[in-house]
Amino acid sequence: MATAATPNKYLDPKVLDRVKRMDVRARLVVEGFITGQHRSPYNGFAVEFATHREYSPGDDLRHIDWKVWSKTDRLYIKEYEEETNLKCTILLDCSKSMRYGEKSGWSKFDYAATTAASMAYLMQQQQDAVGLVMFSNKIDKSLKPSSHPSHLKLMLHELEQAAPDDQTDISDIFQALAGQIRQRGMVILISDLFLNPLQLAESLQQFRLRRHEVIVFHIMHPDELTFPFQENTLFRGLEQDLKLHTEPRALRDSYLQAVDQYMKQVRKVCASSGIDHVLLDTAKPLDAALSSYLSFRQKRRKVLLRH
Amino acid sequence: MSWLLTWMFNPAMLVAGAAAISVPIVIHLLNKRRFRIVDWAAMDFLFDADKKNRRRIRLENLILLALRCLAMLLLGLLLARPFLPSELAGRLGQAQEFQRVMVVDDSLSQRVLMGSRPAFDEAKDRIKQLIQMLARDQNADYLTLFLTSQPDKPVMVNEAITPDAADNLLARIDELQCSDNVAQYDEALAEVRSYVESDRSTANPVVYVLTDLRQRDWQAPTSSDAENAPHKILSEISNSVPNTFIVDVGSVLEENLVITDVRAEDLLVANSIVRFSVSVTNFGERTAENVGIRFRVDELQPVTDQIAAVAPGQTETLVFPYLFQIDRDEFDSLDFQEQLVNNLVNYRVTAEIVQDGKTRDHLKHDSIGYFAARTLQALPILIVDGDPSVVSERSESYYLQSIGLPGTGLLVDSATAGELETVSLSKYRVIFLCNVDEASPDRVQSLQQWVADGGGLVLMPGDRVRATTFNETFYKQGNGLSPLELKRADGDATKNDWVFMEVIDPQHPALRVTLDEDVGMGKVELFSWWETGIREDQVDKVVSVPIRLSNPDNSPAMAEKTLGDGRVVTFAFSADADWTMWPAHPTYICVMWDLVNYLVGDLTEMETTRVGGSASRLVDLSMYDLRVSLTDPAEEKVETIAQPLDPTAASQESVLYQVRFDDLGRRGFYEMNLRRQTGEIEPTLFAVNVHPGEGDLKRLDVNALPDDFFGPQSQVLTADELVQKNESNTSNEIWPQVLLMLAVILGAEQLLGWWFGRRR
Repeated sequence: MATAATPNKYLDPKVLDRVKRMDVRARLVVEGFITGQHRSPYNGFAVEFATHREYSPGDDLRHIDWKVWSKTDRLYIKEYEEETNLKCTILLDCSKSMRYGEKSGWSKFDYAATTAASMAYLMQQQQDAVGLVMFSNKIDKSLKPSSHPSHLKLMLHELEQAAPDDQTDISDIFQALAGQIRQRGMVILISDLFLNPLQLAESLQQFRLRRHEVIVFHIMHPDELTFPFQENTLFRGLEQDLKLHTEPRALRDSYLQAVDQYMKQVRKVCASSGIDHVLLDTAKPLDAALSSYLSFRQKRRKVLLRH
Repeated sequence: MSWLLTWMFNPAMLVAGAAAISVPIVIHLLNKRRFRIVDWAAMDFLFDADKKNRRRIRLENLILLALRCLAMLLLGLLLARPFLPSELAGRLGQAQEFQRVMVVDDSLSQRVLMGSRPAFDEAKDRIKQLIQMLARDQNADYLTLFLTSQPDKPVMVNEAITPDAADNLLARIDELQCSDNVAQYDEALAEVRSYVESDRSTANPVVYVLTDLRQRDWQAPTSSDAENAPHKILSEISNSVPNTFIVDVGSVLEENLVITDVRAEDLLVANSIVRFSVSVTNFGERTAENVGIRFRVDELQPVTDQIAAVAPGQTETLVFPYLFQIDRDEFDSLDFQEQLVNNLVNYRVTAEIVQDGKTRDHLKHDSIGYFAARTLQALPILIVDGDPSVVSERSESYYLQSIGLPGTGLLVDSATAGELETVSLSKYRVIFLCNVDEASPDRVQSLQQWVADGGGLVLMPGDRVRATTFNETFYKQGNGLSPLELKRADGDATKNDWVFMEVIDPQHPALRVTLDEDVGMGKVELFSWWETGIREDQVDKVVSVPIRLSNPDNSPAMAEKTLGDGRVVTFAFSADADWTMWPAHPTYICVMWDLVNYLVGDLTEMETTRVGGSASRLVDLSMYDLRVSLTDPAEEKVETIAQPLDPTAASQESVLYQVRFDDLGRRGFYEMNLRRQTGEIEPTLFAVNVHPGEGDLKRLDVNALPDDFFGPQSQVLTADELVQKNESNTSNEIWPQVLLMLAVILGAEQLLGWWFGRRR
């Protein structure tokens, strides 16, 4: 398993923060884990043999493995992995809540944008079409999937330019998006998911109903996960105009409970819809997290195919 | 504000503390204004948590704030030094327990008058007032009372002072009598110390020392004993007992004349003139003039004499001659000697300072001295004449016989050398052997025993004595009676040549008369004498030579040997005038008479005892009953049983027992009565005098003492303050409790602060 065995093997988020150009960032991230592995699992998303199956009437004759027939006098069908002209759409949350962390350096949005860029870069490498939708409570920017190299550049440029604004409200947007993305493909949602879990479930269901494969990259800042504040603090809402003056120490337990509760709900929602939920902590190296997820995904696929 | 003063010493501090309550509030408010601003995304979770915890946080903050305010208030209260009036403490049900330990000086010096009453009575009144007050208040009080005259026997031990018991206690205090003894503060305080240390059951020991603050009682007599000086012990006590009070109940009067000594200068023998010397010491600051002294024997008419002046600190002595007369006709002539020999007649001799208006003597009880004159009715002596004659002038003992003149008290018996074998030796105190050189071995043996038992033997060998016989009988190579070995008769029988006697030891009690130059013996001629030998190894041990001759050898003229309790004196010449002119010289009878007194010995020295001492005497069970009674000056009678002299020996044959009465507490005459087997009572008189030093009434100057003379925590009070002091007893101050509360509150604040603030 290719998890972050040693942290220095991966890119420190702080180092990455200094790199402003998104294309370089993406390359750094992706190459980081690709070169870090013995064998790239993404070398040939194309026609790839998976397994044999005994012929049954109705099967396409083209797929009969004649070599096996010649040796065993039996008819076997050669099965292949799904051949792609994969269309992937990256949905990037641009709401204000993603700005958390700006003051201490790398914001959640930076992390999310880099994730998006890395995924796009990765897809591009495999000649797949990648599209990008940036949304808050409306669709801010939308680029249709394309595998053209210049398209990637455009996408990265957009990511560089983007600035988070407004609240998150996905119910309407996802309804519309689900309608727009006709062809079955992959949908990658990158967000902090500060939403009503029911609403989230409903929205993600839109994509699942259209048989898209959905991956959720859940971006969380470590402050939000551990709540390390000590002294008297005035918390101001990033999205809503809310204020709370309190002693964080006294609230910590309850807060962490609430977060934990929420995370459980989100995981449950995702699991029930067959959606991959990947929690990305902005304090951890992105390449490590991605490679770990991708290798997990590959393994799972192999297991699924075998059965 | 004034009501606050009844509660605390510095109410202003409490007000300051109340004002300081605002400090934590202000700090709290200032803290509220100081905060960080965080732009936060996950507000929903935060609100969720806040909703659950808001009330709890507010409550915690209020608790902490209240604790801090309370701490400030307590700090103010602490500095204000509050105290609870003892009645209030009682009403609150917090009645305290007090173990009150008193040491009361009941020594003789407490008899000094304060106004018209003895100081001791005043002290008793104070104690009674204190008891009455303690009985009324709400506290539980227990009283333990030591007297300095008998430290080991506390008068009261842990007696509860309650309204019911108060009457009984007051009656018992009333019964206390001032003793004639000295104040034994060191022992009394040592008892108190061990008592206070051993009894930790009550929280509040209070020690009172009711004293008249005499210098002599409080200051260590010698530097080597400084550690055990009374004030050092008290200092130790006060270290563990903060409530230690020295209460001055003494009189300030210090002028005092004391009869420090009454003694007989001569042997107490009836029908002889005995000189009594009476010593008077002036312990005051001013010279006492014309001090009259009344001298009285028994109830007879007293004799009064005067001392012109006694300077401060000085002792003057006045001599009263007295003749104890016994009418000898009263005695049956046959038993006459028998009765006289063993009977002592007791005379009560008192010497008293005459108290007229001019005498400045504030303590009367030591102005009287007692002397038990246990007088021999007669002093029987035996003169054995080895050369008797029907013509009295020619007998050997002719000159010696004259020592039994009237006025000497001597009863002289004569015997020949032959009669010596049969006389009862025990009848006699002194025996002269004049010109005797032989005796049967049994008789010599019994003579030796008689001397060892205290008899006095004088050997005066003359011309009838054969040296070898004498030496075999009396000298026995130095192991016999005589200190001198006779060698040969020397001198000029024609009396044309002579030597003189040289007094070597003029301080010898028998030779005092020779100190007088006018009547000195220097010119007494000695024509013949015995050349004598002496065992050099015995010289200055058991043998001494007070007189030597002026012959070329300087041979001894008189030698003395100590043998057991008695002595033997040997002269180197005869008792008559054949060899020397001395018997005709005026010093002869004087020396012989002093010699008799000297040989009879120490009868007079044991009569005077001090208060607290003991009276004892031997009881010969063959003559007396085992049961002995003692009558004290107040006519109270106690009985005891004689104990074996040496209980460890446990010899069944021993008939010599001892009877002993300790702790004679009163001054005056004690009469010990032994019952003879025949039924008659034989009294022995003892005189008990006060300690002369007790008459030194000089007081400690409390103001001039170092601050911690009685210990850093003790306080010196006047008698009036004793009762008042108790009202604001220092232990009612509650600052230690306040301090404890403050510490608890601060601790609780820290603990809660940590508890509330820990990460959760």
